[in-house]
Amino acid sequence: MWPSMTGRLRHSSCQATNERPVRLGRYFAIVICAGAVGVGAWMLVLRFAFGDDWATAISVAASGFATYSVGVLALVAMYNWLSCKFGWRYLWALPADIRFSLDFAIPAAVIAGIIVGWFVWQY
Amino acid sequence: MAILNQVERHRKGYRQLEIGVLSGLTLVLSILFIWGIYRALTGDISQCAVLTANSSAGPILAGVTIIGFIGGRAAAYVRKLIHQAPAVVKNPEIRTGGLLQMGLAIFLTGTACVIAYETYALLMNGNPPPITSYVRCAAADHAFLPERLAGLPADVAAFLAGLLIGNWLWYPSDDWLWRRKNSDAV
Repeated sequence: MWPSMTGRLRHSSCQATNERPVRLGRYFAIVICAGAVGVGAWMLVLRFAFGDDWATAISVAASGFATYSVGVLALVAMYNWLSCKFGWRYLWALPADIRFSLDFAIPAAVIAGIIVGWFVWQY
Repeated sequence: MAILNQVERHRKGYRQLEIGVLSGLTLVLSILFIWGIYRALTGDISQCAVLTANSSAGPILAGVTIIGFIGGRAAAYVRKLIHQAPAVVKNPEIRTGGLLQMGLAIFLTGTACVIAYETYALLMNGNPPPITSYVRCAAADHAFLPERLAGLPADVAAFLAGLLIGNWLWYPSDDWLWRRKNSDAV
């Protein structure tokens, strides 16, 4: 019997919740990409409708996208923490058929952050 | 091989050393953050932009953070050696109920709130001042130090933050990079 069928779990039971996780990797990626598109549109509105300069528009958009992405990750982390207490299935936010290594994806994200951070620093 | 045997013989001691070092670094970083908050509350952070304009403070901060991040990765390899742990994505058991998971949830929620504030501040043209204003002050602050050492506490804090984040978030997902086959990539 796996965790979600056992109701409220003891703390020790939380160690086996990866047996049958809810794999939402693809949907998670879609949510992040949709956020990127929305923030990109917001950046263009700031630049062309409100007349902000590019540095301001990119700074606000980059910060907004970071807020959105980290907020979604926080929701996943919060859900997984509560999943133990309430016996929900563990949520796996990475795509199951992921083709790239996180060893490279994380430094790539850091480099992107540094480039965007440069714009924020200029603001 | 000799290193592996050494770790195998003294695994418990190495784990205690690991906890001690990570706890110590976290404590030092916390003290620096508390000091920074005190300095921000007792000063005028709106005056710092001119101090760091056209200076190398920003690139130096970014540089030491990156060095810390890479150092964190190296430390993570050592921790992986000590724990002999499999990659997270291949681990059949993931703990979701412990303090670490709660800490991760709180850390990400807090980070999202801080970045949301940054977004709002940037959108309002710097009123209230964005987080970068506080970073500029930290990069220019020399408090009890000689002026030529201005920003040193901020550089140390940036290095430690990079080290801990690199060690935590950039933990090796699999075997040693140079030994990994393409088919094993996660």
